[in-house]
Amino acid sequence: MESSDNKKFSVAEDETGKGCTFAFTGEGHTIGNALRYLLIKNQDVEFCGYSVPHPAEPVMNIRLQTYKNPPLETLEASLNQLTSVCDLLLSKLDSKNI
Amino acid sequence: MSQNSHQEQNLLIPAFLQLRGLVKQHIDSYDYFLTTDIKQIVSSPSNCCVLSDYNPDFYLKYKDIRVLMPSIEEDAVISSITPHECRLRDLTYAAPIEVDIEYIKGNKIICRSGLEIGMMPIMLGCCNCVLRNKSEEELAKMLECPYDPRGYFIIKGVEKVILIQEQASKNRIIVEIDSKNNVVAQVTSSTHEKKSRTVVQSKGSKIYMKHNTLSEDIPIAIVFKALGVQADQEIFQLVGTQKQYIDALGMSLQECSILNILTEKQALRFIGSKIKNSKAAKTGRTKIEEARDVLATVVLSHVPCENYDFRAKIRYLGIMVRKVIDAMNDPKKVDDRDYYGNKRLELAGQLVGLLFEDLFKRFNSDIKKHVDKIFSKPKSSKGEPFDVITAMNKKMITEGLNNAISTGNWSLKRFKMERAGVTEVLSRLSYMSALGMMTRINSQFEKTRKISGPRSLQGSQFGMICPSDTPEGESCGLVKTLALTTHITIDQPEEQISKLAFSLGVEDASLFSGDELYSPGVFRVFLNGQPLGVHRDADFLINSLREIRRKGKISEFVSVVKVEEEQQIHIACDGGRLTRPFIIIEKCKSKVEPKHIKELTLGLRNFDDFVNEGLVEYLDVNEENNAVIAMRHENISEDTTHLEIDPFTILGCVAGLIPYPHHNQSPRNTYQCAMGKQALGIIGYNQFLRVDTVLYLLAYSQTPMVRTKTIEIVNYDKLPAGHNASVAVMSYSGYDIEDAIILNKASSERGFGRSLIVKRQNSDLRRYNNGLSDRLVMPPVIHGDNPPPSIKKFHALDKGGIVAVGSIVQTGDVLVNKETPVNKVDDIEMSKLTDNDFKPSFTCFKGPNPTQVNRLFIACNPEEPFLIKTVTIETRPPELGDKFSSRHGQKGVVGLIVQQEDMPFNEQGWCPDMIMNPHGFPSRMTVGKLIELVAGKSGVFQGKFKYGTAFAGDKVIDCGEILVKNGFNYTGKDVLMCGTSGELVGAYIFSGPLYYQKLKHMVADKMHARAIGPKTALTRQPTEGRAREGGLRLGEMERDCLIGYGAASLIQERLMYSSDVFIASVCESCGNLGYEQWCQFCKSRLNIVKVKMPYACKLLFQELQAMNIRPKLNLSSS
Amino acid sequence: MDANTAYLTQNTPENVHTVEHPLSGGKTLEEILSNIEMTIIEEKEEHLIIDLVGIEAPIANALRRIMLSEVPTMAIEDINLWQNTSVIPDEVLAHRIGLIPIDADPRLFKFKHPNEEHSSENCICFKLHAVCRRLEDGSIVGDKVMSGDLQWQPFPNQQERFGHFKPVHDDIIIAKLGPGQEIEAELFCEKGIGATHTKWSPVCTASYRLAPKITLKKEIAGENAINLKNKCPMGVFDVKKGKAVVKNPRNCTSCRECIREDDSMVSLAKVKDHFIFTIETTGALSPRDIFREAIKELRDKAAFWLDKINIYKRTPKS
Repeated sequence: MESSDNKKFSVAEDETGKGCTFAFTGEGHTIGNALRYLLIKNQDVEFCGYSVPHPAEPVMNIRLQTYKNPPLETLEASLNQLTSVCDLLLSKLDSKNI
Repeated sequence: MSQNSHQEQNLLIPAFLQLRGLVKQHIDSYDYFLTTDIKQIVSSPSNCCVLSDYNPDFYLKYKDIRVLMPSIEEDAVISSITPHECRLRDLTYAAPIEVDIEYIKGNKIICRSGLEIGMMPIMLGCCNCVLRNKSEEELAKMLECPYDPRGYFIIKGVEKVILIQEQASKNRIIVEIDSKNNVVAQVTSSTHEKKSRTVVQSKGSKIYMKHNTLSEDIPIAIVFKALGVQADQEIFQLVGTQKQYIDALGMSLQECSILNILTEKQALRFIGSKIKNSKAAKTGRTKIEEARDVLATVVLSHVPCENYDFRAKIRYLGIMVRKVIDAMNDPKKVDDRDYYGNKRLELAGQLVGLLFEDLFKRFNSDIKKHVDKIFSKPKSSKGEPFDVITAMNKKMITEGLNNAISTGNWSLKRFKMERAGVTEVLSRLSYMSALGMMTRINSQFEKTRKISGPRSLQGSQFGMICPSDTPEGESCGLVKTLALTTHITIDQPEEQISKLAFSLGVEDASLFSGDELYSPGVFRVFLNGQPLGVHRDADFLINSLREIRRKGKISEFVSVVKVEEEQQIHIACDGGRLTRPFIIIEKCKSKVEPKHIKELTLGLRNFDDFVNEGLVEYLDVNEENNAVIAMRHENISEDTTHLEIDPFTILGCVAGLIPYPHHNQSPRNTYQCAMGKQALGIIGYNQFLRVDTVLYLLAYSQTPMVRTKTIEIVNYDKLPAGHNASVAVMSYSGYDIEDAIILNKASSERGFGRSLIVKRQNSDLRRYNNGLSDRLVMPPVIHGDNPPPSIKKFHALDKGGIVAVGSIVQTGDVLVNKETPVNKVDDIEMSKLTDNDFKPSFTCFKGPNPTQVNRLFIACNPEEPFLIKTVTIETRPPELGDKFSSRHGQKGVVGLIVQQEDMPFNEQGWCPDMIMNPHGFPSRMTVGKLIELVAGKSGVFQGKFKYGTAFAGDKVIDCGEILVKNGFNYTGKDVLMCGTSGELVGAYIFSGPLYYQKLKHMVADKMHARAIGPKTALTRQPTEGRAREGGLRLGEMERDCLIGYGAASLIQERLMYSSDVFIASVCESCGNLGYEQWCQFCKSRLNIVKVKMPYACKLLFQELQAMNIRPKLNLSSS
Repeated sequence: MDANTAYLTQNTPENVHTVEHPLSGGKTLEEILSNIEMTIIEEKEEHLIIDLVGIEAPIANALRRIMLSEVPTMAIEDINLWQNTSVIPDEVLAHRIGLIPIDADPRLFKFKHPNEEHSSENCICFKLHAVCRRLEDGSIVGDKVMSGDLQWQPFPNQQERFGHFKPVHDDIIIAKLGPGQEIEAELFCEKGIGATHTKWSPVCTASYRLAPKITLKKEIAGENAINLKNKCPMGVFDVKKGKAVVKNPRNCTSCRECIREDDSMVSLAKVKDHFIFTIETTGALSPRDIFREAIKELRDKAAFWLDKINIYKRTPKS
């Protein structure tokens, strides 16, 4: 990544502790959509959605509501899943001998 | 003829325009002026010699006049100049006018030839211009663009166009109904000497003649009597002996006897007593003589009248009366004022001719005045005899011409005519705007009047005037544009034509009595509106004349028209008529055959050959009425006499850029005509050598994918203004509402819409009367990284005090570090000058963005000894809010610039440069744009340009087939995938290339805001406008909203505290304004209180006081 | 209707959205991870076609987006223009030069901070000096300034460490000169990403399409079969034993010519988890490297945010 200084992570938590809005400064649809997709696959997720509120502002929000686990942990889990998907893809790409 | 060959016939159009160029009409008319008209002016009896009232021996006679090639005299050296040098050095592109004269000096006759009397501005491309007939290489050496239209003047470095002026034709009878429902026949007579208007009018059942010089309407019978028609019977014969004429004239004839005017003398005396500003008393002439003189020279002055031989005038008047009576009986006989056959277009040659004649007359009268002054004094025998050359003021003609062209004010003393706005600065916004301006027609009508007649498109304008290209708003329909093939005639000598007509059997009208003139079967023949005679076999005369014209024995622009219902034949050879070429059809066969076209393509023949061989001929608006013109080959029938060369030529050059215009809603084409002139592009091959104040250019201008024939003909393909943008028609992100467009960031980074703004700033070092002059000063030395702004602004300067080429400057940076002497009046010894005698007056850079200094010009001209021109180039990628438009009148601003990865893409990996909202289509109905896209897309895969020529062009169905062959849907709609979600877009998206223009309206030039800033001195309110860093006005309507809402404090804050609050001293006892705690009225400071009010309010009170009105302030405390 | 299939009908694509939630029929993560397939269809120096089966749009699209804009390359950023007497204005010339792809492995370099100096670590320097002259025999030399005219000016020990750097192509026209005109410039390449400016994008384009799924609703035989075969411009259909068969479904460009008529017997569809990626490189990196870098970039992104979350968790809440 070119410059990580302008990338920030912040959380707005609901009172229930089951809903959170995560703000990723310096990110867009790339990670937003992928992460949302992986979160949806999680059985514990009640609701997940992402948005880029304004195209001129480099902020991406992920809204996450869970049934049981704290949302932040769910998010971490999904990020880990994303890493493993990537690892799998990498291994597939490098195993090819064409 | 086969399908193929009549497609080829439109090759005639490029041939036509290649020979003529688009501005041939201007150049032709100026050529005519320089070669013929100017000689006629000087040799005309009223101008050719100067005599003296005091010395009968003296004379000065002009034997010849000529205009040389353009040159300039500097330090007594005469050198030739090129137009580009004039543009760079702020010179006038003009050539000396030389005369050969013969005059009396002392008692000898002296002949002088080659005497210069002034400088004549030279039209670029005319016969005296250095650019005439030059090859592209030669033009390049003179730094000229080969595609420049030319036809304009360069006055003090500014390119000026004399616009084509539309007028009602002169010397023709026009019958109208006036506001009181009377029939009026009027003639505007115009000769070199005089201009007057004669009106024959019905009033009740009587007929009168009206004229400016006469204070009252004169009964028509009295006019006839005064002209020498004695018998009433003769009057009847002149008008017509049929019952309706006798009935109508009866009452008018009766009037004679009522007034007891029976003889010529009585009639003349009657008219003499009605003359305005009678000079009879002064000159000692009788009223009879004066009246006769008025009738001979002023009334119907265009009808020749020698030695008081009124016969021609009598006949002319008879015709006018007859027309009035005809129109009284049959309203259909009233002429249509807007009919284009009755219009004449005045071009640069005619206008400069009028002006030159006026100046030449003044020049001569100045000489005469001078000569008279010399000869009125007693002659001193000593010394050299008086030489008239010393009385010649060269500057008068030069400056008279230059001033008129540069201001556009045409004031002709002899016609008492003042006309403003005749010339305009040639717009160099784009190539098209320059071209559009050269073909523009200005009409004399008042813009403010709300009349639709002159503004609407007239049927007779078909093919002559572009139906689309006219501005919107107040001058809509009054400013017009010539169609592509329109040619404007220049004057032709009448003698040859009249001689020819007589030898073809026209019988002189003077040999006939009135009765015979109007007998059925006899056609009256008119030449340029003047009765020539009669002919008994109209068809023979017409056919022979046309045959002779087709053979090229007389000018191809002579028109012969038969008006069956009036039994008249009109021959016209005057200037200013609109004509256009047609292919001649004989016996259902086109005279232009495939072999001719083949010869044309091989270069063995040019357009003139077609005309000379009688294959193609020019018809003017009137003669078109005698022709049966087939639009296309397949429309030719037995009656057809002519064939259109190609239908697309009804459009002008600007409307010709629109692909498929015949599929668009008409106003859209008109909008595009206005916008095509604002599009940034390439303006000429010499664009980077020019030094215009502002030049908008496009960095990577592209030739359009979908072309038209016009585009190729006018060389728009070589000097284009726009990009072939890949467009997806879909809605995206919501930032595309209201016609906004979405731009791809990657495209703009690769050069899409990137424009260059070339700006020039002048600063000249002046020389003052006391011998001092401005000077350049070395800039202060800048120390350190962060100097104060007052020093930092000098950063771009060289040691010489002028900005360094290549440096980047910002707003406020100094370009030329100039100093002006404090004292510009008194003589100061040079050696005693100190730095304190000069004050800084540097030129600063103006412009929104950091800009690079590209070039410097240092030049001099006779007026400016030291001229510094700084040229900066700013590169501007498109940004949010910049205006773009397609060629279909669909403009929009950039609503959002998105990353490439966010853009939708198709299966091939293509992604759009631009996204356009589909809501732009239903209400606009620009079907042409849809077709342009499909045609363009098919052209991409074929590797060919597609054609969207008006009324022709590639067919959608064929384009669809090409798309299918290349694996695309025939509708032009693709399967797209969303760039943000990666899924398929839930609709097929119409996408492909469209030609998009970037318009000159850019955010960087317009955005403006201010907190605090300058105030105007008078009212102390904030200044207005962006240029003065003005405030944003809270206007009346905004104020009304706040009143309605009840936000009183906000209103007070906006309108007073934040604007022009003023604490005034007011005297409570007298109610007057005081000053500094003192009431001058009460001579006291006891009752002064402070009142807050707007400064404008205080100003009003003072102004009222100045008008002797005392506003009194009654104060009460709240 | 199959959840994993999008249908292209005459007027509109149907069922285009990915069914994601497992309870609505979407695949679970485990299913996805165990079924990913990757096949290289074509690999050339300049492009790569690779099939990615089993993953769904959000992940595939993330990779595509990263390839376009977040895989770094080297591109000319700073120019010291000493002389330019050509017809092209300075800034346009600089812009053109900036877009020239540079054959240099960006992984060898660091990003340059705005206030950092040019060094062997973060910069490649080129020199351009082009003069056009008219020779004595009248011929003109040097009228075209090409990308091949860029001369590498190695920083100290760059040559030893990296070998040789040059533009990818030698035949890109930068400017045209007339006799006597001259361009002299010093060019500095920096590492950057396509999101900043497209000149840093490693790909001409990287995109994917969904694998077509073409079926015949009914048996088509005889004349109709030949018609169908002739109808498709891409040769998707063939006639075998008088019957129409779908021979080359991958050739389909979704032109919908086969379903143009109302009573078409062809069903056009797309497999929503079969992505055919096409990666065209500008030349700095091999297409396969770009793909690999993109995957790595995505992984690094995830790792980066995991890091940020850890920092967030450790910072005390106010």
